[in-house]
Amino acid sequence: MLKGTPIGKTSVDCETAQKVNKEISEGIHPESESLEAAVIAHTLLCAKCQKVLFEQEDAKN
Amino acid sequence: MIESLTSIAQGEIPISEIYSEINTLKSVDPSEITLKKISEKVTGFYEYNKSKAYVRSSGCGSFLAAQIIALNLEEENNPSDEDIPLADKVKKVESAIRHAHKATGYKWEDIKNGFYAEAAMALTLNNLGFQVNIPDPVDDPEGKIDLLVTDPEEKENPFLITLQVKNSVNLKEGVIIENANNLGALIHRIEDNWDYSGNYEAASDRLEHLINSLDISTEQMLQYLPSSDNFHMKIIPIIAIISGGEGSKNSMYNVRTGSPMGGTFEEGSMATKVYEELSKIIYTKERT
Repeated sequence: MLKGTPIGKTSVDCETAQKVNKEISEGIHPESESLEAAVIAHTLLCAKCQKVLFEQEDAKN
Repeated sequence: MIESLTSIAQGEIPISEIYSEINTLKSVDPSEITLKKISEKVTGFYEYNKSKAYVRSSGCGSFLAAQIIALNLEEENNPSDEDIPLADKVKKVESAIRHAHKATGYKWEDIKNGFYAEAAMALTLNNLGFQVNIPDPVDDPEGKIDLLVTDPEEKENPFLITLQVKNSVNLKEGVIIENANNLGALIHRIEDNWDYSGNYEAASDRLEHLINSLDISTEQMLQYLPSSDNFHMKIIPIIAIISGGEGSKNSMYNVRTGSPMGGTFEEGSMATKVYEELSKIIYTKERT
């Protein structure tokens, strides 16, 4: 509890971001808006998660 | 217009006489375009999938703060890259995210300064030797804790600061820091240090907005903090108000880079002011 993440990184990891992004794509938003904002920030920063997100969306269309 | 173009084509008038900005035009850095496109595509995904506008806005701001911190730390560790100054790197990121943020409908200028201030505060505390962390969404469900701060050297009476950072262009004093439980004292100090010069009405509105925002966000933060009795170290909730942003007469950070003003141990620097204010609260015997 109240440990946090060192500055310069985002407060969620790739696994969490990718899971939340998949759910958002299916219309399910996290209950915590703070988590959703953290996932957005992470995805903006992380090339790996961007690639997964774009591939996921391409496959959908 | 046609006549001008004909004159230019016939070589009668130099183009620079008609379009004076021609000499200042520069090609856009391709990497900036890439960053803009990616940011727009990512934020577009959340917009398409109906993420709330203020959640998207907050995500963009957190991204900016994280990037400012990362770029400043990179610059401190490797200052040799003079080809691309820090201000240009920050500008590139800021410009891309500003573009992506447009779709939220929120005014970027209103929120940008807050994230620069948060980044400057994180860098200042880091330079002073504190361990500075970003809270995770489980511990900070309402997004009211900006930074978690500990002193790794303090073994006898370890503490954890839950810090909320606010920013204002109207603050005369560089930095005001108070325990969040002493909100009345904090508001009193802000009112005593408020700059009404220039546009009095706008200054009054900003003061009212800041106090209302402090009332709500401080209460929210205090509500979800665990009691120190149930935690392995003393928890100290703190609010910091920083003078800064575009238009500020006494900005404590560089508005182009987010870097704190002055060196870590330099008189009048942001770090010195933060340490003076903070030490009164954290290193006294009676910490509330």
